[in-house]
Amino acid sequence: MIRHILYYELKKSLADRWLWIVSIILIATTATGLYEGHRLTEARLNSLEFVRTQEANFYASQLERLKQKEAGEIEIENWWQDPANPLVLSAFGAAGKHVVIEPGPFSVLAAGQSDIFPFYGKVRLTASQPLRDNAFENPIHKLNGKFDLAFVLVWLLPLIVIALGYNLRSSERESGTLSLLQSMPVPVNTVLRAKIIYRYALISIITLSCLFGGLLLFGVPVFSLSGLGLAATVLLYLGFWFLLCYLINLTETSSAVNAVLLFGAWITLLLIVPSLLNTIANALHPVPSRAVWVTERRAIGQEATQKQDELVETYFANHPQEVPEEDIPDYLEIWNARLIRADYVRERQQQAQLAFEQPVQAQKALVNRLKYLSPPMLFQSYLEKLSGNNADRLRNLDHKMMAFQNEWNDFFVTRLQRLEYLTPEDFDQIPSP
Amino acid sequence: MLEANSLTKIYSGFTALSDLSLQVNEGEIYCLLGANGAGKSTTINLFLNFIEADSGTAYVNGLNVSEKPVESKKHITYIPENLSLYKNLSGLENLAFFCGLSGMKLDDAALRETLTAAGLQPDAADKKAGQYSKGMRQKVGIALAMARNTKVLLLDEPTSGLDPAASNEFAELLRKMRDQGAAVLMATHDLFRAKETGNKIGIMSNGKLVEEQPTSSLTHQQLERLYLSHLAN
Repeated sequence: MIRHILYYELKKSLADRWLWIVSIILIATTATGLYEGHRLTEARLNSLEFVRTQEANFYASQLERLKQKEAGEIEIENWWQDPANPLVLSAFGAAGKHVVIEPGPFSVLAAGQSDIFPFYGKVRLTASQPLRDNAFENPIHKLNGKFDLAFVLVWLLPLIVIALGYNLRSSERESGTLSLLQSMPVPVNTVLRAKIIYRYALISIITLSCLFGGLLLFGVPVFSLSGLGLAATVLLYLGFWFLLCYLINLTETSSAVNAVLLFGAWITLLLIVPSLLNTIANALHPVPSRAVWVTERRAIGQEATQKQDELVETYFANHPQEVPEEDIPDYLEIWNARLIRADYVRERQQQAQLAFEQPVQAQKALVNRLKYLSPPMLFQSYLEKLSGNNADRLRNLDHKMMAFQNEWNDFFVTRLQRLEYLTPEDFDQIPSP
Repeated sequence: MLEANSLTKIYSGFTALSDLSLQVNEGEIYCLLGANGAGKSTTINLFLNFIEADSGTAYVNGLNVSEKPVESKKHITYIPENLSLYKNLSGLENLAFFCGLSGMKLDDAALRETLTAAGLQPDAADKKAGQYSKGMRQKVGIALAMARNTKVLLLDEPTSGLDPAASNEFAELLRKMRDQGAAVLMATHDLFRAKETGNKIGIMSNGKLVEEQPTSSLTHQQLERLYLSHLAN
């Protein structure tokens, strides 16, 4: 019976315009989403390539100069130009190495938080900081969000489902065929179920074809466990909206009422629930303002500058083995003080940051628990995680930079304190993230 | 074939049908007459189990329709006042679809033959139903009854809005179905067609069956007077 109804649904839809309209909308929006995701990923990759090339060029040129120096081909007049000096290779000019968060293989899927969080940062001896390409972007663009695949799948796809499924029963009534249908020896709900199944299958096929075809075109490894997970999740999400349509159709209300109810559900699940969760999370775990954070960071810096002499004194009192010899150059004395100050500032700022991070983590934990209230939120967070552009992964840049900072300092600070110049062979030992 | 036992239906205090009992046998056309709101359509809807009776029982081929709705519908073809078909499908496809819902698989040739037997022009079978006139759609309804070989026809003002020629053609088809043993219950305002086509008439007023007569015992004038007298009451 179901097969019979499915066959005639196919015939009806082939003779109707909606199938073609829906297909065109899905293809156009998916293509736009893919293009946008690809553009953003390419921009990130280009940025990373640029900074890596600069980095490689810098160390290659320093190595070349060092070799020339050792061969007596050039003479270095000033210490700050000496490519063997640890300071020149770790803290000056273009020195330093970049810690990056690479775009994941499914990065084209969702821009996620990549337009908010930095995805690379430079580690140097005293001044490490995350860098952002997006600082000059019009904030309105951030407000509207990106027209990426996640937007198409999470926001637009339900509207297409609603458009196709809001009036399955009521349209039969309004066109007069319901009475004939009801007089048949088959429950109307069986017909309704078949119609829903048909639309579900049709939209699933069109969506997955567009999605996977596009992803394949951009070289995304869709024939993988992640690809399978993506397909399953898209099917589940579509299934959720079609189920909602089916339940609304059971209410036997008019097409207009069905449309209002379903659109209401769309607004509630996509806009109201997430906003409400954010409000609740903010109320329960308020985060101090960014202005407070910036002021505190500055205060720590100023405090460190004011008591720099005291810091140096205390440091060497606690680390007598590191006390420099009397005849060290002046610049080294200055840099020793700078490093001690930088260590102090970093440690204090990390402690201060905890006070800001704790409520953020508490908010995140709460939203993570409550996101099950909204399937769109769940789906969005799944897509962001799959794309690798979720907040957790991007936030990890800070931790990666901190870890690499220690490695960088371990390598250079000892050499600096001993004024141990680097040889061309040492260049291979310079740490990389 | 069709039997109503003391059927009563009340909508929010309004009695749409009160203690209605009637019987339609095989090879019989029973015409239900009455003003708008007299209870004709309610009676048909009860036989179709579209609505539940507050009391009483409706039987189709011996099956209690509220207990066995799906089973009983296997014996019924329903033609409403304005039979609607799927506009994007042809008459042939519509017929095939509804036959399929009844569990009947007929090939194209058999379906075409049935449509022609129901009076549809052969070249109309492949036209989209959206282009059909009301008369053509009613013929598809009759073809559906023929194809499904149902023994019960429930017709709710099927000739209303049809031109006299189409109405006459429709009446011919009904007589043909009756002669093949069908039991037909037809709600109508058309006294002339009821007298010409029916074997029995029942006049309804305020939800009650107030008169039941074989059509052979009445002339057209007598039927009209009888009908108007009940309408006045």
